[in-house]
Amino acid sequence: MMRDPNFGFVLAAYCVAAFVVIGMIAGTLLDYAALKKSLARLSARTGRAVDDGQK
Amino acid sequence: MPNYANPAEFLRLARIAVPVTAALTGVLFAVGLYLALFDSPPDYQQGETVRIMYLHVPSAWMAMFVYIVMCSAALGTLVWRHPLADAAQKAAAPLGAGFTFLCLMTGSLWGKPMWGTWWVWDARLTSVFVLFLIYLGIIALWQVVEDQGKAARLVAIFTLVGGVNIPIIKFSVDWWNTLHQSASVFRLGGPTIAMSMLWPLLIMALAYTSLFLTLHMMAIRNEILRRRIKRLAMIAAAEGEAAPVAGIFPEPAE
Repeated sequence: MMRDPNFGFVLAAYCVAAFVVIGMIAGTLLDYAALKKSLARLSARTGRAVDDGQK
Repeated sequence: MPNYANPAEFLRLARIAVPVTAALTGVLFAVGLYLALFDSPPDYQQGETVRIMYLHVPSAWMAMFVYIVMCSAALGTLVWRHPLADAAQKAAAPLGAGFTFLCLMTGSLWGKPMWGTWWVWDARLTSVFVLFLIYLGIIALWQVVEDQGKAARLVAIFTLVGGVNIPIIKFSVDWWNTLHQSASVFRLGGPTIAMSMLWPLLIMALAYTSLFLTLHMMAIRNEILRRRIKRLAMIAAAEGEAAPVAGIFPEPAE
């Protein structure tokens, strides 16, 4: 496969795909982490227990 | 039967389903990538470049599938006032934009060696680019309208109007004379693609679908939490504890 003259295009396509897929996963996970942190802080402040989707 | 329209029920379902679909996604990607990169043969005309197809075609299908999911959610918002419909729609838009971007980029990386150009304004490519712009428009609309109920209705109408682009994308290669090849999998008379290439393609499509289901459930869960935070912040404000919360109100300088 690596001897193919267009191998660079194939490699670039798989790198772009990895970047986009990892970006979507990371974006969702980071958003969740930030929201859980905010929810925990607010719950402590208001004294109301709120389900953060993990309990 | 549990009512999954109820956010608490949905969170309970997501807690069980997300690890299962995430594991399934990992397995499908491992099998799909092995078949796509090492098991399937090179094409007699395209050579190794055909391996880009295993990324490009499923991402194109997902770009349209996610939009159809959003149209269903838009109907849920406008017709049935489903409590999770607008959360589902809001959560799907960035994922749809991601798949459409991937489709455009991998298509371009295939087009340069095969067609001799990165881009042509033919009907298929242009209609997919319009779909990408529609996704960006929907994401922007959610950001600019402050009242979330109003934003949900506006986005739902915009999404349904934009839905006219989906059949245009699908049939563009039949209606117009395009550089993009016509359908070779979902067509009357069955697929024209060799089985040794069809299987990796279908498994990669399943992997993409499972990835979307996983990320969509996670993103809906995030949206539910965002709304709970907003409600808690309002309660705190009403009780005279209007302290800033990350992501809702600006943090004070340390």
